[in-house]
Amino acid sequence: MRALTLLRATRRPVPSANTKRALRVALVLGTLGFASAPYWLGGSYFPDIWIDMGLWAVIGVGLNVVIGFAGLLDLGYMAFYAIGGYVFANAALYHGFNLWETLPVGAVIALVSSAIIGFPTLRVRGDYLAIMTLGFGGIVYFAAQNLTALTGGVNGLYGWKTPSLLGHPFITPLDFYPFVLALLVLAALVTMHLRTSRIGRAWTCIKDDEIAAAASGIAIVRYKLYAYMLGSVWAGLAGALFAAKEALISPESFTFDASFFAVAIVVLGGMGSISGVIVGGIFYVVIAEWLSAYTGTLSGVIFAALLLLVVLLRPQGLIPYRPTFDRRRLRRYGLPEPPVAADDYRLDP
Amino acid sequence: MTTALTPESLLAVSDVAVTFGGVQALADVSFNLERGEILGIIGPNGAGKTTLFNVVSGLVKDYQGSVALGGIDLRGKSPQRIVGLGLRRTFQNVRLFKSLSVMDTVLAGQHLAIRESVFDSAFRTRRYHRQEGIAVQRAQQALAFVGLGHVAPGDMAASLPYGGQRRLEIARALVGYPKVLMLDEPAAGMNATESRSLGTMIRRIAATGIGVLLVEHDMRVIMSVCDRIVVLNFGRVIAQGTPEQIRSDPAVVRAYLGDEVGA
Repeated sequence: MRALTLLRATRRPVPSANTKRALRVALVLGTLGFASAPYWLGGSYFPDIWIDMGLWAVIGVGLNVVIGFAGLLDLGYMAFYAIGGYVFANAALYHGFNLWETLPVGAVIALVSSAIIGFPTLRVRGDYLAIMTLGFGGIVYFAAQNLTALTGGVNGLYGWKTPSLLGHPFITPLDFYPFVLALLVLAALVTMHLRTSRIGRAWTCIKDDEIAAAASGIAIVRYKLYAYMLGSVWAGLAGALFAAKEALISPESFTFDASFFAVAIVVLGGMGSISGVIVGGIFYVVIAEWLSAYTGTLSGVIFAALLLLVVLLRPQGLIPYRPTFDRRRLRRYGLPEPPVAADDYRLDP
Repeated sequence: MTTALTPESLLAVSDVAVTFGGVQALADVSFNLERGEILGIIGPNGAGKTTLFNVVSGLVKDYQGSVALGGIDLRGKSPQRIVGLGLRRTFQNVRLFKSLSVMDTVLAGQHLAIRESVFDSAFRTRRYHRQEGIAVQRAQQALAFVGLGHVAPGDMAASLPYGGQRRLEIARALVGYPKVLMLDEPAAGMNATESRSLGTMIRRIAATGIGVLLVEHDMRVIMSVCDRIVVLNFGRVIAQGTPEQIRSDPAVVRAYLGDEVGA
């Protein structure tokens, strides 16, 4: 039990500036080393795993906007991954689009479809929203199986021309890897920026207290819809990259399990924490895909057990989000000498 | 009850009635509030004070009569629309955002004033930085005004002591530069010194031209701060007038203050 209590978030002594700097350097080097691992590990197995990690991390970052920022439980998130994938497959197969031309189209269609789905569903709260999103995930899955004209049915779609950029064809997983990485960096940066801005604060307010949010002038349903859309767009982009890399898309990848694992990644990593959900995505791939090579179906049990452990011992997730208003923002935006007493107040500065 | 309702009043409440499943929560409630005026609303528990606040702020939509803010009828308008028209409120049980810092709480109060698009936020454009700068400086002013100028802006809102949380809630409302500010029992849980300085602050708010609607149980605050007082009992206005008039009104003494004298 002692080992378990150590996992709990405890108050540690404040490290010195030097220790902090050393830790930061180690963190940056470690991240760079880890991200570039497919290049120095070589082969096609490792790049494949790393692409999986990257895509699941993007899924985590996207769903984190919906669950972590706005507090909306979405059990059908992978529907947008499917939509992105099928948009790419159709465009590539029937219209000869290249991947790079398709990505923006996939993003726009994910935005539009999430707006269409979100508009009626986001008026309901809590459990009801979870059930409706679950239903939407189911609808997209069965549509993928049965709308043969668009999706190729259970066999899926495949056989489009290999994507290429500036004459360089994309064949091996290592060709796709930089783009997965770029998408992850973009998703992480944009959502991080959104969090500390007008829209991100509105999401936090809605998550914490809807009545107080409305009393501050926040349009609840509209901002929930924005969260749903700005979360879903990343799944659309990741889905298109996934289909391009696999050179095949079929309903198998979008079962309910996948949407459940997406939620699990956010909870495991830390709701609201961007670095947390990225680690969550990496963890998921390590356990569910890598470990399954050795342990078979037992890997699912291990992942579930790990999730339970985290929920019980560290409910804020592996890397919890610690909200604060940091000194840097204050120095940049604040008054040079902030007033302390009431007399210094002016009604309209 | 004879109330001269002038249409140009800042806030005009006329003949408001609310029933909750057979219970008459409010009946024939009329009063108006002018710029810079502090209007106290008192009455025993269950007299309908909070219901009245909820009607005016748009949380209770099913009512008779009319409420107008600056001549605009508020019927059917959502709470956030009413906020946009210039009405802000605080809550009887403090409602702060538990995952926002002190500074971010006051920034959230400026939601309608900050002009940045999603694109500005996502890619940190010049407009984003300019807007955040204005918002942070206004927040610093508002925090100083409510007496929280010394608090570290990065502290969590929930980590403040109770009185500080009440003040922060007022800062969040005030930073929206409302025309009308409704305070629901701001002195609850405060000691005599704290409630005295709260009274000073409310006077200062009104001095800027804001009309203040004040629900309060602390009679010292009510009597020392209010320009006029409306007394509710069982959902009805039983008296209306200056603190001196209210103090000596036999109906009020019977219904409300009489209990305290007898106790």
